[in-house]
Amino acid sequence: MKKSELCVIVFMLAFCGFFLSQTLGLPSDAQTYPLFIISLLAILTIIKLVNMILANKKSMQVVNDDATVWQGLLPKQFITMSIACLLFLVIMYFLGFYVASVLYLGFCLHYFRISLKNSLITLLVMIVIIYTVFSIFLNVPLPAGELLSDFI
Amino acid sequence: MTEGTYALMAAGFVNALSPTNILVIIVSVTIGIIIGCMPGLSAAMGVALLLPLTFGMEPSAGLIMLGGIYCGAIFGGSISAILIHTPGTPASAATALDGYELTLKGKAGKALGTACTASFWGGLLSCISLYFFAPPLAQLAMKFGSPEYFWLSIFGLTIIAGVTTDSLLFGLMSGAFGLVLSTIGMDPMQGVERFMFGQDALYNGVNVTCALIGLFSMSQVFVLAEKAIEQRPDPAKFHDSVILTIKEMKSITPTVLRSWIIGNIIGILPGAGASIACFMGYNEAKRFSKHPEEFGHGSIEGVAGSEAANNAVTGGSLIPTLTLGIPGESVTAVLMGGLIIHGLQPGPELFTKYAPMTYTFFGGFVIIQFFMLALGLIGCRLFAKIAKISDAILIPCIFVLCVVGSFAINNSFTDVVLMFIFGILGFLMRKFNLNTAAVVLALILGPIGEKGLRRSLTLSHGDISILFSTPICIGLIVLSLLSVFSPILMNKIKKSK
Repeated sequence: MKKSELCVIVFMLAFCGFFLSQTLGLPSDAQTYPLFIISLLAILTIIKLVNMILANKKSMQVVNDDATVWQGLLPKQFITMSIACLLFLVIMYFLGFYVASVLYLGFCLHYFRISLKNSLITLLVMIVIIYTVFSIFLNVPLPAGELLSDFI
Repeated sequence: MTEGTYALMAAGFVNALSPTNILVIIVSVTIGIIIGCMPGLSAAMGVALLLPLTFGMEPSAGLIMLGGIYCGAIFGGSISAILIHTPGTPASAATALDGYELTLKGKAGKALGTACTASFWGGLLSCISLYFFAPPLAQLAMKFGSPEYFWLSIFGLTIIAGVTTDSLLFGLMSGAFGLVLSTIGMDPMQGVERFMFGQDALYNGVNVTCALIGLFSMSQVFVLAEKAIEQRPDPAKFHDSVILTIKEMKSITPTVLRSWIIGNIIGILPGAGASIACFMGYNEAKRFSKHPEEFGHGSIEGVAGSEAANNAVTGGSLIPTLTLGIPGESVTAVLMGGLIIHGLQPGPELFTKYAPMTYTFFGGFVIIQFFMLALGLIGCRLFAKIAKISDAILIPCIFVLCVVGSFAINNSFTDVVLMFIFGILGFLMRKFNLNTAAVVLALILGPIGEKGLRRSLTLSHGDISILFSTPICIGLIVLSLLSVFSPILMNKIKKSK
């Protein structure tokens, strides 16, 4: 049995359990359809589990396949990029989209050691494209930021 | 087909030639080719990412834009396959076999010209089936009532879940997982809040566009960000002409026609896609060739067989998507999402009430092929240079576009957060071999199936036999069962051999 498959099964069963507990709080008429769907997911998950057990009945060992699943993962780079994405959302909320974009793009391009010239070109192209398409063409009021909106 | 239909087709074609639509086609095909020729970016990701751009457009222009990106991306994959031996999309994997060999022989121009010409003919001929098969199939959908729509949604889910993942059960689980997510929001019959966790933004359920951008585009950011950034090889420089001679054109004609039929049938069959078609087209080209020994060593027939087949899928795959609402693969699932965002439901109404819009889209789809040919032949050298853009630049750019695209849907920050959550979900699903396309399809088909089921049961006062009451219902049940059990049976047969 692969560890990754077991993880999926545990997640799906927990997901079913959580939605089941929420469903039981609904009026009885509104419960039927969600219960049907949750049962379907639970049944499929249990079939998968039984399938896995039957396929490995001789040795019930759990094979750690982390190396295959996360092959090539660079934890430091991945975590840095994920945090940068999250920070982008936070900065966008407080300082607005354009400030966040410039800071985020600047940071990422610097992190990946892109030359200053190429970084500036990328920044300029992205900002011009987004401004032209979203602000002018689609007329989308991109967030100005909670802190800056009073000044704009 | 009636005279009225032919008139609508002609009017649609004329509408598609409007300056706005032509501009949309040029832009979208260019973007599509760029996305396609960059290894690591897929057609589905491109269509999902650029979906918000269509919000300010007429529905027909919006759909033409998505169609242009789709066709452009499928063709664009061949450029990097030929010049750097790395298929831009899985649909061009077979093209790399002979395309790169031709490049090594100094015939890269010829290979690109063949890919471009074959893609053009494959795409153009697929429009014939789109024009002539879609309306009758839509007529069939007119006979659908609530029970049929319930089974249709089940069939759509089983087909995509069954074919697009290695594990059938994981595919079905992904579909069921998506169905549970599709119940978030207001209960359509009782008017009760379901699983909204106090978020008013979830009143209308999970926003499909946010989910699309998250599952296909944002997840790609994580996929690219987890691995070491590799320098892509320089694309091969070439000096030979990309224009084929009449003799070369004649030599690839039978291959193109054969691949057109293969690609079209594969496209119409829900579940199969361009990545399967390219290998089938390639194999058949080899089987029927007078020079099969040249295959694998630089045969233009090989390139033509693969490229004509994968582009022939595009028109074919739109048929079940537009008529029955069953997208056969992830790109058409995203396209269907685009259709729904513009307030249009796949089915007979597209060929009656919205026929002018639909036929304008069809006309646009034909014109897309011509611009794909022109842009491909003229710009392949430039596109090859763009293919070299590093993932280090793509990662932050895609993320910024994901954010701005999801924000533009409702000018809401909540949508951005939702997109981000679906991005994480999509990344983990890809890591654990679950099927993101099935989740998207479940989010689209879930509400249709739920309404179908609950209306049927209301009409029959709770009598479940209504779900088995018509021949169409039985047919759809049989098809659903076949799509679930045929892969199991095929596996057993393979093992017994």
